Amino acid sequence: MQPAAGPPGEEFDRLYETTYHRLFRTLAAMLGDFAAAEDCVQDAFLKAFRAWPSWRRDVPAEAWLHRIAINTAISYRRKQALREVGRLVLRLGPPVGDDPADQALRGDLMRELRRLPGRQAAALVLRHLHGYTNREIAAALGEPESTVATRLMTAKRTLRARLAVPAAPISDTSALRRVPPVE
Amino acid sequence: MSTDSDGGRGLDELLESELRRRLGGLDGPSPGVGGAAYRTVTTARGKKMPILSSLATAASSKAAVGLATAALVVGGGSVAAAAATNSTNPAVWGRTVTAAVASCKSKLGDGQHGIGQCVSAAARKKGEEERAAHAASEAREDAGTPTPRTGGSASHPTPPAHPGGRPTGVPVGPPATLPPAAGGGGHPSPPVVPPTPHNP
Repeated sequence: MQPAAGPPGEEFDRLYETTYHRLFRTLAAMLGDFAAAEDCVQDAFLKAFRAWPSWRRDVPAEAWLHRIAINTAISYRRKQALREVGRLVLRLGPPVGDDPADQALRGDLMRELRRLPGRQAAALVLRHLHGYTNREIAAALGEPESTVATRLMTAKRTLRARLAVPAAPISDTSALRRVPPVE
Repeated sequence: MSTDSDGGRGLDELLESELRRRLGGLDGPSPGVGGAAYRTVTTARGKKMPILSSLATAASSKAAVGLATAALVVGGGSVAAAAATNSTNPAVWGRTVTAAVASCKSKLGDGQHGIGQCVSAAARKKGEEERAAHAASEAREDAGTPTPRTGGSASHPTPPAHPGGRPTGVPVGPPATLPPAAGGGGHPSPPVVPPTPHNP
């Protein structure tokens, strides 16, 4: 096992500069909210700064940072869900309309991605946006590779089911005409 | 939104294209390193901490300085000592405050008086060091790294065991006299009925 890092200094500053945007994109996809993503990323770097002496160098720094950031985002989602329940209970109604700046985060796929459990969404984003391997995702989530593989498979199955195009109505026979006659 | 007949590859391509299209160019509103939140954390060079616990706020107020000074004069003052040292263990107050008094007295020049502010500052510094150690421990737990439970080291001191019960010097029960009730429209206070003595 590699020795722990010394006190944070310029190395941490460089890490911030090189990884900030990737962490932000991950959390923006998970949370669907730029402001929340920014808050969580800053919070994650603060936690990482304090925990820096305990970081073992056998885990890639960006994966380690992602782990902290993803945990922070999952906590945020949990609290947000409780807040939404509270609003409904108090009959305050649905939240005010989305920030137009969050336009990029709309769309069917992004919406369904946010509906997934936090770690499934994170695994998909790490794989398909950042190109992480299963091993790197495992390091980022703090889980075995086999668990990562299961999460990816479950997440994709859910997305396929939710994003599938509905069956054509009976009155539309255009698809039937394309079927060649049986000889 | 459709998926290809082979399902898997189609969804993978859809995920990659959509995520990259929507997020690939996002840079976020990040300030530079100088504006990052972690930059305000205390370093060994003594920069300010952004986290102001109620104890730190109380310790930095003039009232807390006065309390700490008065506590030293009286020789007790567990509440002020607890606030200044962030510990309810009287053994900790004794060591911290005793050491601070000795140190501050030695710095007094001829004809100089008053060690209250000096002692309060020393006790506050000790409290901040303890809080930083606890905060680092909590941050390690968030990062998924278990907090070491073996005996303390120089950089991670093991906190002293907390005694049970109330610290000495803190009054127990309600005050002897209650302030008068507010004017006419309020509810009258019920008469105080002494407890019936219990005869076995």
